Amino acid sequence: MDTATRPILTTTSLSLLLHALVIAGALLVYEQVATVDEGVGRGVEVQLISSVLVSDQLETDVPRKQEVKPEASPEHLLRSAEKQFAVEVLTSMTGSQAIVTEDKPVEVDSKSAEQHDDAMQEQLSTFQGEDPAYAARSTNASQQQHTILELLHRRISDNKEYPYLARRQRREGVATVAFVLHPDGSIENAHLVVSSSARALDRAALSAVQQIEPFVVAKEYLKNSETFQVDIEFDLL
Amino acid sequence: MAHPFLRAVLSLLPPCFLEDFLNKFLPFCVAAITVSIALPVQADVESVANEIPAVVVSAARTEQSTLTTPASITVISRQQIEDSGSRHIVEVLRGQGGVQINDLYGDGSRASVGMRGFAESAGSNTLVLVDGRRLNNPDISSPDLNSIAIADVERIEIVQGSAGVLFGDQAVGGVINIITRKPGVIRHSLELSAGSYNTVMFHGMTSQAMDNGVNYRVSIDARESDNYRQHNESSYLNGFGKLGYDYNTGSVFAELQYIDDELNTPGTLFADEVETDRRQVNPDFATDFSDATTQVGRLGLVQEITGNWSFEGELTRRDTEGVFRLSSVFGAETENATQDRVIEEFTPRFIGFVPALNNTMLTIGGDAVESDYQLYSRFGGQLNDQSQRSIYVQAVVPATGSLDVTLGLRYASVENSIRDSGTFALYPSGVQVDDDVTVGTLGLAIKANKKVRVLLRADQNYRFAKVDEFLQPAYTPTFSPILLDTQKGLSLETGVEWTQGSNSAKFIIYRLNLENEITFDPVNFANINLDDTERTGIITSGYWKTTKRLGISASYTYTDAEVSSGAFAGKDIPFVAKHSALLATDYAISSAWQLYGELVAISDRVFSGDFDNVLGKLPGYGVVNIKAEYNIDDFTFSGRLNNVLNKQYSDVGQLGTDPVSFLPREAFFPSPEINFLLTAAWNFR
Repeated sequence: MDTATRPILTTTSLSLLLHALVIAGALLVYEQVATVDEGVGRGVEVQLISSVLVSDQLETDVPRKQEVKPEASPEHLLRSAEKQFAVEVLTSMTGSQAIVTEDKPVEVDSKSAEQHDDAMQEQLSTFQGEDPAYAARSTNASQQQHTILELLHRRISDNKEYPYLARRQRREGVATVAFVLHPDGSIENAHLVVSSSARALDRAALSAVQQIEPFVVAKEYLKNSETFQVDIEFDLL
Repeated sequence: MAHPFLRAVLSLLPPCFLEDFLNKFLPFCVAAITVSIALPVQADVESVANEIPAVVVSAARTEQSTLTTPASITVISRQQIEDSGSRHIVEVLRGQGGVQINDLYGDGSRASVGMRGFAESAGSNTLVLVDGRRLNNPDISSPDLNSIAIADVERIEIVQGSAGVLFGDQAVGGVINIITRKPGVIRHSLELSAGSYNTVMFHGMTSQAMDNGVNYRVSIDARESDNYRQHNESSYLNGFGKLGYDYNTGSVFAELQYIDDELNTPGTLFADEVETDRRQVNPDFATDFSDATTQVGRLGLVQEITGNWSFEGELTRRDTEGVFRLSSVFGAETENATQDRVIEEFTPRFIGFVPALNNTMLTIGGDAVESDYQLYSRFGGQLNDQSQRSIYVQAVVPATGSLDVTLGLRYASVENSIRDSGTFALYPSGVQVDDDVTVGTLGLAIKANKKVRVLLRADQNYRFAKVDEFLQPAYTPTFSPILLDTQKGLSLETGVEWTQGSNSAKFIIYRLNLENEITFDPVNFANINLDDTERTGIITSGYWKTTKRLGISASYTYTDAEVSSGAFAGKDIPFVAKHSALLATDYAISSAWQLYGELVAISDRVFSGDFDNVLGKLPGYGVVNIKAEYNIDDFTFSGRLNNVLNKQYSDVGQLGTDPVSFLPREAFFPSPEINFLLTAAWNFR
């Protein structure tokens, strides 16, 4: 580089640095303002955490998402109760994980997520087969319900992949994907409910779900098309 | 507005700025918050979904390497670094497979890291990267490994072997890639250490990744020590700030670093002086010192372009201003010299996958490095403006499920504008030295099964003559003009890696042939191109977690380095150890108490600079270091005892000159005897 362009490079870099600092300042201010002004924002966060906590502590608690009931026909109520139970059992199992997600000790090398996953699968099998409390309370329908949840979990897990480019950037996050599963095993309207805030991870989450198609065993469990939702958590250990 | 730093920054701006800023920005903030509140609500009312248990996708540390090289990489994890209680990166690297450390004063301040048979020119043939940024200098000074506070290090990757295609200049013996910690939840740490030789060290750090994507890390590292030798006082201050922003399709960051490094340099001692008092300073060197201030600014961008392609690039500027005094045995120097260097680097690259080619991973990039070097001593000035440009492409082709083939090519060019002044000036009106080189790589990685990987690699490498090598090493008059050629080499290696859970082992055999190896000939006071050289070696290392409490790691390196043709044919390349080994063990007595012990051993070496192999050999040594650590709540207390057996040894010895007879003579840098360091650390949120 000749001597004429060198100062330009230098000035440009310095000016970019200064701009970066100012933007940082702006974002810090944003952070401050958000804290001071918006009690509501914080409230929502607290509520989310507490709902998880409570559902972890009290198995009978109903997860918040179930509170919204668009229909109230007796048939729907029955199905909804089954679902509630399935979700409740699962939330009680995954609740502790949800808390870990909220407040993750980054440097603590606890159980690897893989192990956690396996452990959860084991728990699921235990619940299905041996747990007397579960056996006593479960109905045939809810058993089916959560067996399909288990199968979907496994199938999605089989397709999971941490995108290389996201790994390079050390991006982490949780993407929530919802989709409609038809009894014929086809999948429709797979979409993001909550973004992980990294597009690469969102894409990998969607792809993991889309790849389960055709989910042929669906016909054994489903009479009608149903909507499913899954949190896909990307962790670097 | 409680943030003092922010207040300080804002106070620099015009008074009306803040008001304007808030007026304009506040509505946006409120809008953003409204949206962020609205989003979860939307999610809630969307539908009643059946919740599938969460799927966790995890990647292990070793899989996160930011290097797209298929080479064998040894990872030293944060845990291993903490277990060892090491004060410097140099201490962590000592004894690792394929690595030779040469530490002049035992405090890491003037140490070099060499891989695969490079010792005296280690700093020019082993590339050190910090988060991908080159720490190597355009002149022969070794990279300053102390500039990275060990408390800020997430992990260290030791890349075995040449990586000329991917990293270019100076990646000859291997690459040390230091990865700093990425901010997570808010975290602060304060560390205070005190030890032998009036050593006091402080480290403070705060970091956070906020929900809005902004993340930062600020750290201060300060050390004061009298050190083992007389006239070896050091004072080191290192301030670092990094601000990043992660967004949906990428991330940006800006980094600033300031280093103030002051050191009195006691130089070498002859054998009789060591005998009398190994801590003394030769009166001729009693006013020598080496001070430098360095400022580093860096901007980086990672941007996803498509689902398969992303762009990465960094813009770095490093500015070092040094003042030093360097005497010789012929008499004390009375004048100071200054050494300034400004390095500007731009390192863009595209990384992506080509589905049509069986998901081949491509790395396509270019490097531009501008170095402005100026040295002024009482002999005059030595100036060199060096400009390096290169382009490269590397493809990792998954040929079958178990075989990856790597192909790559790099073209690099260099332009030197050299000028010197003074009585002995060679090029008072300047001289231009330009050169270019093309290197290639071919590698096979065979995944025999889940546990075993076999590697076969052929890599070409190069290093351009450094900016100060065309003239003379700092501070001596120039006698003969030698316009050095570019050093080129070919490395062939094969290795086997075995991994099972936390246990691992590897075995590597290599041969590295160089032509025109650039080195300093202390007999003729000149930098020269050697004739052909050949290095062959074996590197083995392993880690075995015997029980949940006890882990053992071991490594052994055999290196045979000799000049294979020309005037020095058959001679050993100076200062390369034939054997070196490390045996380390960590034991967790309880969740609170942890013990660590290591044995570092190295065999005897030809004195540095002794190409004729006329002097004796610097004796080898074995040193034992131990550490105990106690954890309670957020506090960690540790004590490390170095050289427990109180060995009297010299880590570095070089060919000196007898001031009376002018004959070559053995000169030593005596290493510290038994010494300790106590550390109290507080990690909190």
